[in-house]
Amino acid sequence: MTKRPDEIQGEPIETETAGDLSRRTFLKMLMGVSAVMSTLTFAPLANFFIAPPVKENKDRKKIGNTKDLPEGSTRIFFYPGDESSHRSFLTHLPAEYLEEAQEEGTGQFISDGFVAFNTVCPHLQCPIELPDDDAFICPCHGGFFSIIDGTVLGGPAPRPLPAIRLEIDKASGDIYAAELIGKIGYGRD
Amino acid sequence: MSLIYKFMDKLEEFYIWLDDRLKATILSSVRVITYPSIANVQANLGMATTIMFLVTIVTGLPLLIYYRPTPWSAAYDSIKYITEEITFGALLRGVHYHASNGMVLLSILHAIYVFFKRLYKGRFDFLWLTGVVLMVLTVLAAFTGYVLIFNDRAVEAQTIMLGITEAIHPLVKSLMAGTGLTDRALRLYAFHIAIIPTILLALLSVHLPRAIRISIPVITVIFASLFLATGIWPAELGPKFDPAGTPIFMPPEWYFLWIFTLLRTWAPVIYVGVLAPGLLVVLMMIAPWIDTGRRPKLTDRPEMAIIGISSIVYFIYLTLRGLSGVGPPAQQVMPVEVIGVLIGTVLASTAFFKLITPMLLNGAKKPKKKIQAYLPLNTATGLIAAIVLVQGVLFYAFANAFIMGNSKLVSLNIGLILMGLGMSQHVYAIAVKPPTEVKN
Repeated sequence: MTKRPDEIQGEPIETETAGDLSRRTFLKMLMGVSAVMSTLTFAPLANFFIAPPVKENKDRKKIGNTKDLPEGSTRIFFYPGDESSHRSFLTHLPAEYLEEAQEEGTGQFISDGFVAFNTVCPHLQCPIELPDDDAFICPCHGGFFSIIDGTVLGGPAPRPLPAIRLEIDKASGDIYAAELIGKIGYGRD
Repeated sequence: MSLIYKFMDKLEEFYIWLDDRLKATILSSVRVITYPSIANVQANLGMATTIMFLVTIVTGLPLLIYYRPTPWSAAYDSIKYITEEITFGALLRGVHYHASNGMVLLSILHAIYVFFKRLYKGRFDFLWLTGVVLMVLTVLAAFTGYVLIFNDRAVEAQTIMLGITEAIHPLVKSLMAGTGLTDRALRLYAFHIAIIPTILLALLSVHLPRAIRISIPVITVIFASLFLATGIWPAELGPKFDPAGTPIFMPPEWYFLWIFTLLRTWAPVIYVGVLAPGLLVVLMMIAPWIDTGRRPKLTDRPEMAIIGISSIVYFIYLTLRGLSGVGPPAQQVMPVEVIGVLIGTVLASTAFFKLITPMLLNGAKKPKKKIQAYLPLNTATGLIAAIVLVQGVLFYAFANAFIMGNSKLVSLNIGLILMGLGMSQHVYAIAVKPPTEVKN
């Protein structure tokens, strides 16, 4: 090590005047700004981890035929895509439920006695059980949903099941899923 | 302001606490030394290679999220998806690619430096041996990486690899080939992401010295150059491999061009594809034991100088020769030419080191001047302020490029901003501390 003159002479000498000190501090601050700017440039790279959203197919999809579904029966289909969260039930409602819906004015999703709901629980995304009597039951935490309009009858779910608007071809009896009404999955909105 | 000072105090307290606790871990056996003043690039090549390796890990791990190794056709599609759909996917691929290339290049330069400085003698012969193995593994890691793209060039390289491994032994071939293209994809993938890196890390632990010297400006400039390179030359995607098609032949990556030239002599593959590279590796491994010179000066060990210089010149010749006459169809490289240049190179370097250099060295020796870099504080402050100002402008450009979604410009700007940081670190290092005298 080469020694600075002040070190050689033995006694430590105060070489840094007030102006010098502030200059050093200024220099360090400049270095800090430089380092912070450089580090910040890496932050947006975290966007790499977010996959772009999958384009959802909004086309109508054939999901069954009226002949295959006698009154009171339910079948599983997937809409709008094939993801596990797109699991849905198509139910042919018995006559007494249709009357009940007419009386209470809750038949907005029924077309020709058929009704369809996405059956992923809005509470924590559990798959809901096949209808038992007049309700869908979520096996995980005990949510109850109306089989007629999907509203919450009991349990922890914050909002009703998303419904699927149906279109039925009168001539052939083909049933089409045409539109998803509501939001799939967790959350209040 | 006082809040900031309080925060800094707390930070320092935390640092002291952490430092104390870490002394009880394995890290305490590693000593990290930062250079006090001037950046010494040639002595930092090993450190730079290690940094490149770490960069390939850091950029490679996120790529695992989107890459699909099987079936083989999904591999190409997933890389296309990363490059075209994912934000900064092309950037990350580019940095990964350039870091892998940089790792190969720097490991070669590191070996050349150690060879000519005669740093492999004594206890360091073991480090040299592990270093040679590390270099071979580095090339293999880079190779298994670029064949995972499953474009025309990748599958061509795979088939040539199969040919060469078959020349070694059919069992070696079946180890790499598996039962088909998809199985091969998974094997190469396993080698690339797990098997080779694990061996590399294990060997690295017996290659790195206990006292690790790092130069912060050099590291920063390395980072910067990776981003700059990505901004200028993005990683290739190329056309997807089509089993029914006849792809246009493309030369391999630069570190295989020399073998490519040798293969085009049409000599049996076992000689030019297996024994020639093997000879190079063996020659490198025994170098510490055939080197009997007492001092690192080349004039004191002309035999090693001849071997070293002629190897490098011949390597460069074979590499450049690999780029000409590629075709299609690829033209033959005459064996006479390859052997002739080898003999010529050895003769020329022998003549140089045995005859010419001793004559030239009869004159008086010039004393070496030591570079002493030192900047007055005022000048340094001005320089750094200017750099930070430019960085500010670049940062604005960077933010703009990010908002516009221009990945190339983002990469270039990151590179330039980091380059500025490296420069200011260097200026800071030579300004704040007076130059230290290096004792030899």
